Amino acid sequence: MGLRTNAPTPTLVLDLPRGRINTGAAHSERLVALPAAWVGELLECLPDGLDAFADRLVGPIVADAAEALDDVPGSLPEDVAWALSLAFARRGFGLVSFERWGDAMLFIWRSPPATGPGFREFAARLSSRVVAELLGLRVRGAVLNGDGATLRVLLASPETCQEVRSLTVEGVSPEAILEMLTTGDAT
Amino acid sequence: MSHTDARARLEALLQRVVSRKDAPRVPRATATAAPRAAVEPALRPATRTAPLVAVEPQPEPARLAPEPARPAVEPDPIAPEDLFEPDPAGPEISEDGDESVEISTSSLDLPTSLDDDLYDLREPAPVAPVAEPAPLVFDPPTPVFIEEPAALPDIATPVAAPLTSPLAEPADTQRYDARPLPEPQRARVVAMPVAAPTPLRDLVRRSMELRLRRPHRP
Repeated sequence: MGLRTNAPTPTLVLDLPRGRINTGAAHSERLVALPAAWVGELLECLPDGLDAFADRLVGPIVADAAEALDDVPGSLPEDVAWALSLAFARRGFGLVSFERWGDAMLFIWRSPPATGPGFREFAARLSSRVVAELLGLRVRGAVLNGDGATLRVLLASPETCQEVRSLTVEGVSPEAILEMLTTGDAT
Repeated sequence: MSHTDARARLEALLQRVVSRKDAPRVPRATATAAPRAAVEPALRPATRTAPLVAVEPQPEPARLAPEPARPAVEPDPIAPEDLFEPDPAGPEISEDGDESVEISTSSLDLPTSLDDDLYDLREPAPVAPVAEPAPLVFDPPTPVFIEEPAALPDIATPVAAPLTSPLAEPADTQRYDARPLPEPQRARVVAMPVAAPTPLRDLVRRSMELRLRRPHRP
């Protein structure tokens, strides 16, 4: 349980003679360096493609994070946060941490490439899918709040996340939503 | 005829002779025209005899594969009379009777001998093969390898900072940041009696069990 000591060293190779960027791994995918602001603008233009775009990123991120963890199911939150931060940072996506408010688990995305409305839906999809794939759970996500530097995503059941989205649209504050979350039967 | 008459006729004859002798003599250009007219037919046929040498240089000797030495082309002997084809029209004579002929010197540039290099096919001069055009090569600079710092992402640093979340933090709020670095503050936290660490998977599962309880409205 914990982090692997032989975790791969993050590397970014600018192969200028061939005009390529990659991570230096044996089978690394080719990367393209684009302004981070374009990500948010692109997602705004592709409202129907948010889920597909996020799902496409889940696999590589989970693979990198799992490679850095010794025992994924038994990993502590700090270790998973470190492994996901490493995978996110290698792609310029920022860093990851977790917060627990009562029993509510929040995925904290620090320094994301964008924080606009379109990117929030993308963030909820990507963060929840990464955690679900890594831990083997059917967890979903709903953005509670965020500013220019941090996004907070509630990790909960699909039904609860749908209700939280409705409350957010109604203008209910994040604090009120967290107070509504409780164990047992909902009323 | 009397002696007087004979004398008079003799004097008149002498006078005619003297008058003709003293008269200015008209220069006759035909004195030089005759040799020119003789030269002109000799040169004009020369321009016509050049095509008679039915031997043409190879168009691109450099691209031909090596061929066996071709026998030297021995041109047929040309009779001198063939080289000098008389002009049926004859020399041009001007209206004033001048038989002078204009001779163009441009036709004199023709080769006069078959031994000239232009027609010498017995030993074709070796020509270097045409080299393929060399492509322009633009060598880009040497690859630049940029490695991230060996240190892990500084995830634990914001943990020590005060919370900036606008959320009202309940009393039992717990934070799970990346594995903390050894700091004195963390050492004190570790010294506190805490529950056994719980894997993230179990914590997420508990979060999935939460339901939304809407407050009762009057």
